[in-house]
Amino acid sequence: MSIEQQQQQLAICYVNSQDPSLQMAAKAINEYTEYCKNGQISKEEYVQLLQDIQSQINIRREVSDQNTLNTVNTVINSLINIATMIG
Amino acid sequence: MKKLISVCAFFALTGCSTVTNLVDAYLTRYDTNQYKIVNDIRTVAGVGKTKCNDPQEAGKLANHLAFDTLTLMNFVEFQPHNQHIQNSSIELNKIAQDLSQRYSTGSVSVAFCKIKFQIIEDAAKLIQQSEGNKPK
Repeated sequence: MSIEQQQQQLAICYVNSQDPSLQMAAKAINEYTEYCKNGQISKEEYVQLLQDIQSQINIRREVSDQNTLNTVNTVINSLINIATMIG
Repeated sequence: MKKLISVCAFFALTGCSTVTNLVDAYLTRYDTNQYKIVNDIRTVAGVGKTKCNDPQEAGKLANHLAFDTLTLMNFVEFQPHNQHIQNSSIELNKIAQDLSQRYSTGSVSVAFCKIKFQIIEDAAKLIQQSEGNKPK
């Protein structure tokens, strides 16, 4: 599959996906590919940036899980406060 | 009795991870020092992306980030109920160490420099927002 076909597939991912991480990844890959094609970044740098996308996805996932815990914490503490007031 | 059985069944089916998550959720707390380190990373990365035309200055800032992200990684390593930030800090350090190594071993293109600093700034901002939302 050629680079252009890969980019086309990414564009479809970007339009169809509701997942912000996948959208971010698709947009970034497209951008990096253009930079590499134009000679603005080297092949080694291109490969490294593609690897960094995985790290970014991992960070987003971890932060999202932490945000969920923060919300649960707020709910737990609110319930404790309500229970204490009722008691 | 039915309620007790339901609760036991819930924990038996979902496993220990649910209990761990609930404990983490209850005990997670905002940490001023951690927030400051993440803020430093974000700020240095924000300045770094404007210095990409000056490799010497950009290299210095990349080294600064490698140090700061390592500081964050070490700071949170043994903190209980902070698993998600621990994992995030490891990933952030990987990204920053690579940039620093590239500056110390060879030339770095302006576009690559800008993208890398931007990635670090964005990731630090996400972590900072999450840390800021933790209960005080």
